[in-house]
Amino acid sequence: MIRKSLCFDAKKCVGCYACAVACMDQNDIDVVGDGVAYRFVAHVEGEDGGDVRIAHVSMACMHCEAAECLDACPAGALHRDEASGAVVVRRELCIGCHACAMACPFGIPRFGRDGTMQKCDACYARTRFGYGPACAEICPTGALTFEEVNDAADAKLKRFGRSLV
Amino acid sequence: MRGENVGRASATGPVVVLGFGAAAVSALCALREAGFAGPVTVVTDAGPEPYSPVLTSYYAGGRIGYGQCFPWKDLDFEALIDDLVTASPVEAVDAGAREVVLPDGRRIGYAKLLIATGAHPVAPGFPATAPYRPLVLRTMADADRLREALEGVQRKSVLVAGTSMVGLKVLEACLDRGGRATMLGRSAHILRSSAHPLVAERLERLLVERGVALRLSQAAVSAAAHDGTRGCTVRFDNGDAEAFDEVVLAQGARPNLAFVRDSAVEVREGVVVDRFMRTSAPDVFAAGDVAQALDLSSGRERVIGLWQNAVQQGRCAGAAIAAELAGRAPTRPYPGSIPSNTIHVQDILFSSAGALAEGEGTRIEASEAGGALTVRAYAYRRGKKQLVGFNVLAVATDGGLYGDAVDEIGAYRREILNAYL
Repeated sequence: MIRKSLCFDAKKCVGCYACAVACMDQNDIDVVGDGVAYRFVAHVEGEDGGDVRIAHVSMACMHCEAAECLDACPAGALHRDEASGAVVVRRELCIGCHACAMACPFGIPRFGRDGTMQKCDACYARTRFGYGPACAEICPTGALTFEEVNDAADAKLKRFGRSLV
Repeated sequence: MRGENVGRASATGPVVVLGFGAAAVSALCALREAGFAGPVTVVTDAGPEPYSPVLTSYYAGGRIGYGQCFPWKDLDFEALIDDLVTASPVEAVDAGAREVVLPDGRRIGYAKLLIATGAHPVAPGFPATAPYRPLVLRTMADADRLREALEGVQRKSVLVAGTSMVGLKVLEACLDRGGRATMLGRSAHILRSSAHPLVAERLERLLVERGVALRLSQAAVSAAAHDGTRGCTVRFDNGDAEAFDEVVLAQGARPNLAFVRDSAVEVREGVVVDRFMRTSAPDVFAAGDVAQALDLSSGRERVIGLWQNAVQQGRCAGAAIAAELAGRAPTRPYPGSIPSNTIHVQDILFSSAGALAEGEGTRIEASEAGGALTVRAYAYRRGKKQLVGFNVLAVATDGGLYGDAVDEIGAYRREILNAYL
């Protein structure tokens, strides 16, 4: 089954935070109060031929195919939504043991004041009705997109091919 | 599921799974996902619904209800299992005849066998307390008994013998119930195998601040049960004697392997397995807390009793069994793991992974930020500085939040793993 997936192109990201704000709005997250942000934007500086280069990376749960957090959770609080393929947390079952945080190499699981884990669910409540995730819908530069995995891989190959000619 | 439908041995018998925990359930799922449609029999000494041993302390302490201890409620076990034999230990595995022997004499033939029987608590060196029976924590029955004991524990004293992760979770359950807890350990510090002394000292201080009494570098030499009431008076090797209303033994666990003593299955610390979880006996696999699998950090095969390991080993075993029954070679080996754990005791969170032993060529770096103490161990290999282990100890502040250091633990663990994979 071909599923749509969130795809990110760092070359198009300008670090505007629209994705992070849309995520907070969609999920009613009050980061000043009790909320924990699900999407982050990192700014990475590097050198390129003597020039300083700044890249922006919008990050949230990758919903990994071999998600280690799923294996690590001893409480049944994490499961994969069959329809969307998203890794979803059931906070009412979370015991706050941080085993998922230890398993995730991306530092995605975050814990609120109630001690339970919170993270991106790929807006599966939207995507099941044909809408895109809020972050991808709002992205003004096309850095974040929601597309079929095969299409995304095809676009990547074409980009690579163009860089060769 | 047809509990009484236990077939005779045959060359084309069912896949038999001994045990019904994380490794077993994961193997059952992998078997079916790989397309195996043949008969599967599960034999367990527990009940018909698998539980999570990790959740038992939360239940005993009153943090979760009984029903939440069973994390596979969404699984369709009818589709996974044909015969489920419950409340039955295993008497023996006859690898030559390809049969499992039950205590009542019944024999179950198998085409492939998975040993996933988990572990049981042990209490080496703790003196006899009869007729008082100390508590332990592993099974739901243990948890029920501990919960019952702790429900009336307010202002009572509880001795937790052992400074393991399980000991700390028992301590938390006791504190949650308003009990007065004492932790006893032979070593100078708690969590001897996973905490650096710097971190252990800090954790000990935090526990004392929360009302825990520590008896470290001590051992119990004798115990006398109380007349007519629960508990016993314990005499320690420093001459002290103290009365406790309850004693909980949490000194470690050993694999449940008594039934493989006469078989061709090689057992050392645990069942010796290859990277597809195959044992030395043909068509016999092992996974989870019974399996002696690859520890990437030491390069040795050893039992690392972790939930995630059990899940991944079970999946590997299930896929390998399905492949072999389909006439193919298994293709997805178990990659190995490193020791790693996270545990919280009330508002304290401790995380560790890898190896923290100081020695030649190893450098320890400690740092504090945002109320969290981080200790990292680096080894220099071929001139390159390589993270080989870490501890993070944090206390929840700001109404329940841990600092940024805790967000790094997954990246640290991955950095250690990447050095070995």
